Amino acid sequence: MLEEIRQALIIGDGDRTVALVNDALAAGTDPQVITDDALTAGMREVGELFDRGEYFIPEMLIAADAMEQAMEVLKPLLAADAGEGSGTVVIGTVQGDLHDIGKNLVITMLEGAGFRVIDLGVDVPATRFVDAVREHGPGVVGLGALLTTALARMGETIAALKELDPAPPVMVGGAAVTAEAGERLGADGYAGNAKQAVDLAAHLVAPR
Amino acid sequence: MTSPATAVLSCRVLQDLLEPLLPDEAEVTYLDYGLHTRPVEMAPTLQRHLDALPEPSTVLVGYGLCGNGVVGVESGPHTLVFPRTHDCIGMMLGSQQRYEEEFYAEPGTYYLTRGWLESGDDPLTTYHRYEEDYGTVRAERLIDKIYGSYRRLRVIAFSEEEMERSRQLAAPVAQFCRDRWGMAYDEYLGDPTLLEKLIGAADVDDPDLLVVPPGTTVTQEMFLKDEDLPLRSG
Repeated sequence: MLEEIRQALIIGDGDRTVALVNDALAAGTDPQVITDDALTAGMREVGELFDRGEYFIPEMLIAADAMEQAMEVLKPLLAADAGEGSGTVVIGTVQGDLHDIGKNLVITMLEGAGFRVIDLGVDVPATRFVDAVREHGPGVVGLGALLTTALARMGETIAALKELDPAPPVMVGGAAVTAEAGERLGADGYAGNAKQAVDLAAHLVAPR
Repeated sequence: MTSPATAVLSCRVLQDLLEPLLPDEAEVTYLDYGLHTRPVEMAPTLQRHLDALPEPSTVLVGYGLCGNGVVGVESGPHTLVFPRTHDCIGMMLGSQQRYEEEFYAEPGTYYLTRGWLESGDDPLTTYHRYEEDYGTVRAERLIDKIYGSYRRLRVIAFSEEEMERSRQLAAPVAQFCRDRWGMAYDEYLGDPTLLEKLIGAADVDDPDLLVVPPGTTVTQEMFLKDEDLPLRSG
C-alpha cells in the first residue's frame, strides 16, 4: 500500500494518491507512517529525479501538488503532534522576490515532518518577519530567494532578525543562495533542497 | 582588443541584440536559451565550449550571474569578460543599476522580448504545452503556481518597429495574463549600453564589466556589490 502511494505521488497522480491515502487510513495505517514512508520518501525520490535532470519543473510541481493534496487529508490527523513554539517555523520569500515554488515544497515537507508552519508568502519585508517572530516565537525562521537580485534584502532581513532578543535561528535556501552566501549574510544554516531544509530545521530547533 | 584571439559565447536570447554589434569576423557561439531554467547544466555547458577553444582567448560571455548558473566556470587559459549583472534583463535594461531600480519598483514583473515570444517561452504558450502534456486541470494548476504571483507583463524592445511587432505577438499573451491573473501590461524601450560595453570591451576597468583572468573560478561574489552581500557573520 505505501509503495503504491509512493508511486502515485512520483508520477504526480494527485487523485490516486489521495484515494490510496484514504484506503491506507481506513486500513488502520498510522498517518505519520504514511507521511514519512510514502509521501516524504516519494518526494525525496522526486527531488533526486529533478537533481539528475530526469524530472523538470512541471513534473516536480505536479508531484508536489499531489503531496499537498494528500497532506490536506493527513494534516488534521498529524496536528496533535505538531508543537507550538520551537516546533513552529516562520517562513517566507524575501522582499523583492515573488517566487514560491521551492518555499511551498519546503512547507509541505516541514508539515509532513510535524512542524507547524507560519507561511508569510512572497515579497515579505523584514518588518513582517520580525512581527511574525514576536507573535509566534518560532524555533526557526526560513528565508527563501530565487533571484540573486533579492540577496541584499535577505541580508537586511537576517540582520533585523538577529537584533531580536532572543534571536531565532535563521535558515536560508533557494536558487539565489549558496552555502557561502548564507554564511556571509549571517544565516545559521543553508539548505540546498527541501529535504535538507527539513533536516536543518530539526537540527536548528534541537536544544543546544 | 589586444588579445591574440577573441571569441563570443552567449545565450541565444541575446542574438538579435549582439549581431549588429559584432564585427563580421567574430567567432560566435550561441547556446540554448533554455539553460536558464536548468542552471545546474549551465556551468558545465559553458565549460565544455571554453575548453574546446583552440587557443587562449579573450572570451566575451553573454551571460550574467543567471541564478548562479555560471558559478564554478573555470577560465583556464582564457580571460573571460562578463557584463556585471544578474541576468539578461539587466543586459536589456542597459545596466545592473537600472535593473535594480526597476526590480524594486515592481518585483512582480514578467519580462518578454521578441526572442522569447517567437520561441514560445511565454505564459500562454507554456499553458498550451502543459495542456497537451498533462491535461487541462493539471495545466491550470501548474501555470497558477508558476505565474500566479506576477502582477505585470512587460515587453522589452529596442526600436519602435520591433515594439510594433512584439506588441502583436504579445497581445494574446497579455489578454490571457490579464484575464487569469489580473496582470497589467506595459512596454519598455530597452537600452543596449551594457552589451555595447561588453562587445567593445574597450575599458576593462569599467565597473559594469567583470574580467575573470586565466586560472580563475567564477564565483557569485564576483558579480555582487559589497552591499548585495554584506559580511554579517562572525
